[in-house]
Amino acid sequence: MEMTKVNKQRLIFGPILLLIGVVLLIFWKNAPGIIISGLMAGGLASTINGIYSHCKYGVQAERDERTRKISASAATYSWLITLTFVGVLFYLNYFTLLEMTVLKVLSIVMLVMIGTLILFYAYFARKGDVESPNQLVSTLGQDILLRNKR
Amino acid sequence: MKTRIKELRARYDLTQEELAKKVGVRRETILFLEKGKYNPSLKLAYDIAKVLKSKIEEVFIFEEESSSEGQINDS
Repeated sequence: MEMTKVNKQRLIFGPILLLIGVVLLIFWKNAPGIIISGLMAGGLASTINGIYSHCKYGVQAERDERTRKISASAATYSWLITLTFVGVLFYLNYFTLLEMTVLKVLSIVMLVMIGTLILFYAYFARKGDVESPNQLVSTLGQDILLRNKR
Repeated sequence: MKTRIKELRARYDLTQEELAKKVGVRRETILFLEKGKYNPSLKLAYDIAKVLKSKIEEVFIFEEESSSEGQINDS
């Protein structure tokens, strides 16, 4: 069965991580829960991702210039929102309006970053491009318009 | 921006998936290109025009009434 190299790697490393997690769970009695759950979650995510990508795209391109452009823009917007959020948390803490532990703050920041990244990615993917249709005449359009004018 | 991808694709009896595979992109990218919602890179536009045996300006049609006309005339 034909499969992309990336999906093969996902389907090899995913179950290996899962297996390591299970082995540690059985043989290491006092193993820290965060290590076991991290390994299991990573392995499961890699396996599911591999199966999903293979079923959806097969051997076709999974990423192309449009998805790379969307990913880059989504990451930028997500970073900006997270920075604003961290700023708000800083002032809330500075004026003692909100007091949180470091662990809680880090967990919320991670959630905000991942959540906004997924939201922006979904928004741009649905829209088709990161630019609005009115802005679509960019460098390529200008080249063609100039060529037609000559 | 308008494109003639759909028309040219039909002429060469190509599905969106086949065209996507030939130019190395996802099928959705071809779909958004046909709807005029995605602005391709020069390389992708060239590859699509090559597969459809046409010139880039025959495949991608840019209307002069667009907002960037002034910038082009100025330059």
